[in-house]
Amino acid sequence: MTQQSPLAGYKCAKCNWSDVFAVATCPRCHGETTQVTFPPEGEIASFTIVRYPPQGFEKQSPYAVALIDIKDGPRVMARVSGVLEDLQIGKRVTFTGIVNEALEFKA
Amino acid sequence: MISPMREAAIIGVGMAPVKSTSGKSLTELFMEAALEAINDAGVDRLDAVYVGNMMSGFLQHQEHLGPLMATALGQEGVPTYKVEGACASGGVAVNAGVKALLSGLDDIVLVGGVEKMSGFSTPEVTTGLMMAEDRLRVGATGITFVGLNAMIARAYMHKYKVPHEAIAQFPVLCHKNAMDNPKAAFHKLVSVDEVLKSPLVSDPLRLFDCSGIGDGSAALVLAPVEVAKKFTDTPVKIAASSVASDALSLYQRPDVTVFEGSRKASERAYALAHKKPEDVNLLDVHDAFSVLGVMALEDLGFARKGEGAKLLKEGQCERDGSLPTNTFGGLKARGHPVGTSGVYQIAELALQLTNRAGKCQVPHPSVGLSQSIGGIGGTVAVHIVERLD
Repeated sequence: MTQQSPLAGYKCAKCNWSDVFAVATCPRCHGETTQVTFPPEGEIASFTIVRYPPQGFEKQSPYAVALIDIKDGPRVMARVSGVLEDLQIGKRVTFTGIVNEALEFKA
Repeated sequence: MISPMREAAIIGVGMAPVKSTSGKSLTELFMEAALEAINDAGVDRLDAVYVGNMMSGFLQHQEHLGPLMATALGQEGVPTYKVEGACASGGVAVNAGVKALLSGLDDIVLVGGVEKMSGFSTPEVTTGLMMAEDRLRVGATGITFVGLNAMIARAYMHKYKVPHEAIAQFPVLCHKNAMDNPKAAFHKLVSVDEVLKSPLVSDPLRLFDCSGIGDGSAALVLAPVEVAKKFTDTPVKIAASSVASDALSLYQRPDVTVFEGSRKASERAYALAHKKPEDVNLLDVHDAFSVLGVMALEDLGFARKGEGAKLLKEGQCERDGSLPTNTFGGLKARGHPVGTSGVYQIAELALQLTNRAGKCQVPHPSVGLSQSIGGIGGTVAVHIVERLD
């Protein structure tokens, strides 16, 4: 299920609103969006380490999930791999791909 | 802003005890609270029934709670509504019932909430709670609701340089207050040190930062103010009932250390009630997690951003302080049966305002405010209630 891909997303041609998810109509101005590629870099805005996971994730815990501000792009929620103890707000992360439909970054 | 032609009052209050495991069905739980409220009000008919609930479809495989509960009460025939707004379902149900009454179409309205969460594994309940977030976009990361709130807590502590010790005062206060509430789920004092040493659930949040889920039900009987005194000597006026929404998902918010829904719902409530934060002397806030209690003090206008914990340190939120808060133990220690917590809050405010709060009673409350949060702030319900003298 690992998919090697650029960090693709959608941007509103009129008001610059953007998201990594496929959205045909901009929720801000109802303009048309076009597909774009964001730089594969971001910064951690906040994060947590999940120790009691929901159904289907039991075998993966503990794992880190973070809010990441993509450079020149939107804020996303994504998995972060690397040394969990070294994570901190402001840390730079690099996009590594989409795993089981979730964005993944490396710290 | 439009002023409604009518005013709503609470004429009856009922609450089932919150328990980690009640051994009761959804219907039995609801009946316990609803009958207590109906008997308290002394009404022999209802014009409408509103039931707040979040998870009955997923957990009990039971929907259509409106007629289910109305039938159990012998009220089949009246209009019924199940209201869902995640953990704010109860608060939103009260809002819907108040609007029915203010419309002039219904006079005697039962608004209640019910949730049964016992008998399920942690992954099952965790999965159910995550249904309040965007399933496709956010659920795929494996984040949990505690995890979302943990991200808020970390961002809040980082931005405002507030130590964990400061926000841990909130669960300490709630556990202390719940000691005197016979209907609370937890009767156990907790210290700041115990909060900080309890097991990590989702860093940085620990076990005692988190409210305890459970089984419960609370209900209110509402009537127009002009007839309320026919039923009870001590009606409580609902001076404002307000609901606001915000972007559903945490990643869609530029600043995760503030709930804009809380700000919007409370600003509207203050305007409707012609009150200011300084008029409020009784508070019941959505402390599902320690940091949310502290943020509520700020977002509702009682402290500047980053300074909510100061109120706790100064003792203002104690039952003998200037702003008694979560006087029955809050979500943390009264317990958090998610879809009905918003009704418990208003029921507790009503008991305080009518001098019926037992050992939880505070000296001279006159204006109470409740705040109930659904999801990660996507829905917020705020109510302002006051004594009708």
